[in-house]
Amino acid sequence: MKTICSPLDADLIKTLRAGDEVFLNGTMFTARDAAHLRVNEHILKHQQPPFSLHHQLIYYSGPSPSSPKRKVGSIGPTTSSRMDAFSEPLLQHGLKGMVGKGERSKALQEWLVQYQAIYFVTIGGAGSLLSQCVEDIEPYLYEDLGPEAIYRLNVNHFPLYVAYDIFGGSIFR
Amino acid sequence: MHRTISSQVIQEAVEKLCYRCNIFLPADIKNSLEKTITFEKNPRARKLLGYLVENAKIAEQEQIAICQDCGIGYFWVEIGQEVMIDGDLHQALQEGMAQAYTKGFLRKSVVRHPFDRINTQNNCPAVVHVELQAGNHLHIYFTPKGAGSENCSAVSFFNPTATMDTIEQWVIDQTTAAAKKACGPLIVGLGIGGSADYCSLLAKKALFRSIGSRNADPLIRDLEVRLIGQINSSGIGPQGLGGDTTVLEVFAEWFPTHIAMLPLAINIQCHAARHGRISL
Repeated sequence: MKTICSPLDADLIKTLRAGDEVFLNGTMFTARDAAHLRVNEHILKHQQPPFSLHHQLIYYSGPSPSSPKRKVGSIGPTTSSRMDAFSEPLLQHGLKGMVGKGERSKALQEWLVQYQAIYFVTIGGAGSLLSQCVEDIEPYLYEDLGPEAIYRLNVNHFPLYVAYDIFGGSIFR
Repeated sequence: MHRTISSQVIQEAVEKLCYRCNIFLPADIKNSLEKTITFEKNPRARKLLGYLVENAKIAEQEQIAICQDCGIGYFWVEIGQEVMIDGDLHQALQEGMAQAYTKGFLRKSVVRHPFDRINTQNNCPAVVHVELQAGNHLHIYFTPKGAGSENCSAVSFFNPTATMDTIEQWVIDQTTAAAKKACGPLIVGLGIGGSADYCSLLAKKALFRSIGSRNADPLIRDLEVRLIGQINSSGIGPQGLGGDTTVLEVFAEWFPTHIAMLPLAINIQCHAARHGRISL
């Protein structure tokens, strides 16, 4: 089983194929519907994203709250296709990976080929299991959005499947 | 026999119910997931199902939400007409849920208005259905319904002359499309007949049934069995990644309808089929 690190290396991306099971070590930023809307608006207004997306990974997730006993709440993926319409500007600014669940649009698959980026899926509905792969979580941007804020995660051995690769390959039947 | 139930008692019981539902996966769902691992032939699907069993165990041990999406609250209340509530039933349900979500570190996922989208910060309000029945019982069912599965729901209005093949194909198409988005293996709730609103309600209510239970009506029971077989033979598998376990169950409920109507609603439930009941 392959272990990969983020930020994602361009040469590594070329070796990944749809269906590969990999484990991720490193940083991911959470962002879902409301955060995507804001990041897109920011790019439109300032011609750059509010933080560097260079070779980064975005995780479509809205975690459940931290508690005094556990810093990391339940943190599984949300349905990725809702973010399709907002993804191209992020890819144009260097985003190299997205993590979520479920099939996405044809346009998204074409952008991944064009911008040489990967769409990964992880285990849907396994938020408590995945919380054990998150070593650290901190609010990063748009804190007013609560669960929809952007959080910076440090993950260790986080399970992923390559869903769409840069050659147009897909894991979905 | 008339009896009085205090809204305070209801609120406290509802708080416990809502918390429990988010942390402890019902035994029939856990057993069903474990059983599918022994039948599943696709290695990736088998591993994925194993992860889901493990997830439920971790949630229990660590007292953490099974899924980060602790849902929009949904109450189904059956109340006997000989029951008198001392206080406000609706307030007790909402306040009980709010307490569970706040004290239990569950995710608050409800916005106050579909357009301005401001989070209410306590998961209120829940959707509440109350059914007045004969007797002096009070049953409160709760499910925290996640958006990934709820978004895959649909209603179709068939012609009354539609063939069973047409109807089944629609359910198969809806379910296989949902299986590539929502967190499978799925549980499918079907509401057949009634009206546009009532078939939707039946589809949701069907999701409270226990794994392995079959509808008493032979036509509906056979439909359930056929659909399970046909959907699982699609090979789509859990979360669309291939395999034999696309659905754990198809539960159908029915109601008489109009001569010119054949409405059918589908409500999709993810494998984290959190639900529970209290009787007071």
